[in-house]
Amino acid sequence: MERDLYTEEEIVRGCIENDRHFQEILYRMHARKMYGVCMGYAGGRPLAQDMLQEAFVKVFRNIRQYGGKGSLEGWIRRIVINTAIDHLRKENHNMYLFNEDITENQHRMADETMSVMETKDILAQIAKLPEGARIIFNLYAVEGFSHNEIAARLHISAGTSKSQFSRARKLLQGWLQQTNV
Amino acid sequence: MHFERWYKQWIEGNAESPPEKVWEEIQDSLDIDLVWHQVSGGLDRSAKKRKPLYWVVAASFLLLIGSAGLITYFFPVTFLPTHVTDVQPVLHRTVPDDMPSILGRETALPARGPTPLSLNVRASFPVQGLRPGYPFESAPTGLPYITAATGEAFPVTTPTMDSETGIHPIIKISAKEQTGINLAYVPGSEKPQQSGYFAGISAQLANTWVRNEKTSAGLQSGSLTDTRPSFGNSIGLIAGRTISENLVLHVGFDIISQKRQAYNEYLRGQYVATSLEMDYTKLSFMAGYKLHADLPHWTFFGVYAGYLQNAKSNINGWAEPVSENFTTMDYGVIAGYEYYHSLGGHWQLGTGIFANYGLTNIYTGDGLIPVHLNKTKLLSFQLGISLRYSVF
Repeated sequence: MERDLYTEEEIVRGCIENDRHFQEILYRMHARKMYGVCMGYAGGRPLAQDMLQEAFVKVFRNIRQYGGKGSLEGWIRRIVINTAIDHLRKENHNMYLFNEDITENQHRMADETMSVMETKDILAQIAKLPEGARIIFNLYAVEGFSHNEIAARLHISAGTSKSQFSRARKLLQGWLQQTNV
Repeated sequence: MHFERWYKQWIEGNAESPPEKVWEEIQDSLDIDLVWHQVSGGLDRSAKKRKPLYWVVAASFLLLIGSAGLITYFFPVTFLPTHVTDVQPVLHRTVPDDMPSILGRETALPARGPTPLSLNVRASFPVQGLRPGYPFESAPTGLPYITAATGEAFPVTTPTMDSETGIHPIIKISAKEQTGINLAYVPGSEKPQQSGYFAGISAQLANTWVRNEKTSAGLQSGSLTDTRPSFGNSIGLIAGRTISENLVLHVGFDIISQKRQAYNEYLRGQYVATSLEMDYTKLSFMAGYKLHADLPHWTFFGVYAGYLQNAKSNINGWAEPVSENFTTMDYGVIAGYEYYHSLGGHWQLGTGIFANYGLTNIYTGDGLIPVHLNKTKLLSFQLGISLRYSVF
């Protein structure tokens, strides 16, 4: 691949110089993985694409701030997550984002069911989750944040984070189970 | 399989590439950036041309205040009354009871070394422009002061005695009082009553800042927001009471006090010019302390309360009322400096600079951004001018 011709440092430097060639290389290096992250928050492709676009524009505008400290992928991922959360906040009156009641569902999903599910089915169920619960579920399950960290990040209590996560988990499991029955 | 682990693997293992249109739109946004960079460069050049105008106004005020103070302080004129009496020899000196009252220049008192300072001397030295029979006696007694033909009264700066004769008072006055003075000098007497009231009008040009996370970040070069200097005006009434020679209480009522903040921000793929315009009515209470016994330099400290009349945001020329997003009241502290120029009689012109610092968060939140994410405070630096009339 063409990106193998350059070191990460060269690619970053090219992006800092606003070189479209290096920007494209960086985008294609990370687009697929970050697209997946966005889908987790968006619950659908169109919104995930908007998030991904906005995130990468921020990446290129602020790449001077990367400074070579830590993992470039980690730095991009933080921007993607923050962008996704901000995106949901803007579209869903932030004040009520984490206050919605979620109807609990006690269904459990079997292992074999999970392994055969298609992306469109999973996305359809993720989309059903309230945005606040979706954010918390992704931050905890995918990014590995603790509930205290999530609480600090989202300005909510750790208890709210726990309860939202727990309900989202049960709900998602239940919905996915029903989808494959 | 553990559900969270399965979900994480599903996210991480995403094999689906985003459609090409995403990259194309990213490129479009970056292209807009380049265009904006060129546009903003042009705007910056225009702004740089305008900025000197603001600085000229501000510098002129400061220069006016500073130069007047410096001239008065460092370049006093030594005025020998004998020169004046050559023009119109009218001289009154009143000496203690054990010495005769003598009229006229030729009737110099005998030298008494430093003791003349203890004499009760009252003298009138009419000079150019002085009206005949100017009623200097009607002026307050007890404090060394000079009155001009216009009726202007001001304290004597450093009264000294002629070292050779010990008779003629040498009084240092500033250059502007050379034409037409009426002088009365009574050392060692009881000081006159200093308390009194004053009232007047004030106007101010303010450099205002609506400080929150966004506008503060906009001061940094790497930020997506570009905070711009903003200016507002104030006009109002003042009143107060002189408690003593060095202390005054001051009340200000700004009928309109404008707070402005302009910035460029990145919204939905493009930079837009945004400005926040708030109009307050403001009431302030200050105590003023005179820095120098003989010069009208005053420092002020106090508090204020502002009542929000209306607020609107202006995004790319589209105005929207946002009063509901801000608290009705704003409270803060004031500190400043003012210099008073005597205009004659009871009138004075004050020029000064003040800083207003809001202590309360004025943002109440909206459906999109809660209060804790956008705490906002007001800050302003004001160049002020005031006209006041004193009643003693």
